[in-house]
Amino acid sequence: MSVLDRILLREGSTRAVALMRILLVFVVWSRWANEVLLLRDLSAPRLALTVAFFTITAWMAVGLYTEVAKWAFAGLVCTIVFGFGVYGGLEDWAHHHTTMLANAAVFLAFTPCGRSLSLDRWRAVRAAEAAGQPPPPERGPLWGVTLLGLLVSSLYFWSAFDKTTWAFLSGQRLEQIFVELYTGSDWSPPTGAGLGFGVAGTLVVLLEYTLAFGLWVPRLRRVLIPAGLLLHGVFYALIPVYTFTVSMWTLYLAFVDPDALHDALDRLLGHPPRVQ
Amino acid sequence: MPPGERAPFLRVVVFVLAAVHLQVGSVYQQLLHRRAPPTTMSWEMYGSVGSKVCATAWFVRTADGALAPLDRQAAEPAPRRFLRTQREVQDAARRLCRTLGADVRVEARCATRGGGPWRSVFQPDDQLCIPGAGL
Repeated sequence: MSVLDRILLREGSTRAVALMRILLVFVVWSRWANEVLLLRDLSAPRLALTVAFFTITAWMAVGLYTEVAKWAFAGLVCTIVFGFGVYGGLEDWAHHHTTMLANAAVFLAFTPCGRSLSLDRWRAVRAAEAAGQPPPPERGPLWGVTLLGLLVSSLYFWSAFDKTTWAFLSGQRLEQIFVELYTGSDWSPPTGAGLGFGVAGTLVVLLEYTLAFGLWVPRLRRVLIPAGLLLHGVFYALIPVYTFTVSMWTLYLAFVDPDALHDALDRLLGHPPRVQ
Repeated sequence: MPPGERAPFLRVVVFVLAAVHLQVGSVYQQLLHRRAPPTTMSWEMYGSVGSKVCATAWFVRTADGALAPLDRQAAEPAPRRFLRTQREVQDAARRLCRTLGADVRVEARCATRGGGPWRSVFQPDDQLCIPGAGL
């Protein structure tokens, strides 16, 4: 069996993708809910967007008929980013962080993200109980998760590639961003500041290259996942990245062993571990 | 999964197209230096922030030739937070010369467009108070 077949036939617990389903809805709410309120714009397209936004996102969050909801959600986010943003001229809706959300919503639609932590699951459990059967397994094909992982590592690789310049590695770009965001033009760097910016710039680039490839190596994840989460936490605290950090934190679930996460949630809830 | 099982053809096609789609914008923009298709991403994040700003340190040159630090924000009547070009730095220097009646000097670096390194535009040796000096 080829590597591609192994990736595309991969199966596992659906709890990780269910968590992504719920968390991505939260991210989308925090990014756009305030901007699509009814009071913002009463034109027909925006009115339709408002209705669709709150209906589809809530539908996706609770996970009812999720096989349909997930595609509606992907279509909604793509409409916002590409329809209103890229082609409609709303530039703020067509940034890197929003385009990443659109990609993530589409890739999530290729996963069985409604099979756990959803009203669909609740209905399936109730039906099984009524029939005197055990609940259906929370398992399904996870090749879409590999796409979500590719999204993350592509972002890291190309972002690092873009920064592989003397200006960034020497810390000069970080210093320019610091001046723009923090000090204004009156900036006389104290002794050692240049070295500090240089070390930070080099570390960022090295970490991004390492994350791009290392997150695919299971034994490195124990170190790289916390390092990546911390990196985005620092970005969140220091520069205006809006929902980018929480999107990335959510997408890191693509690199968590889905069965290990399933068992961890069971243990957390006091359930006995599954028989492997 | 049973040995020898093959992935459905449609799944292979979707996967490969999606994987390629993720690289298209960056290949266009970063490798070929051409404008990426609008629905793709080049992942050049924060490339423009801070790319049009100058960093300045201000001084007054005293009679004995020493440089005393100067707080531009306190010295100018209506100081601007940002000086974005060499010309704006020079204009600020001239205003300070007039306002303070002193020999004002500046060490100034300006960012270069496209995310390049700092470019040194003025050193404290430059006499910006003299009309016609500087640019």
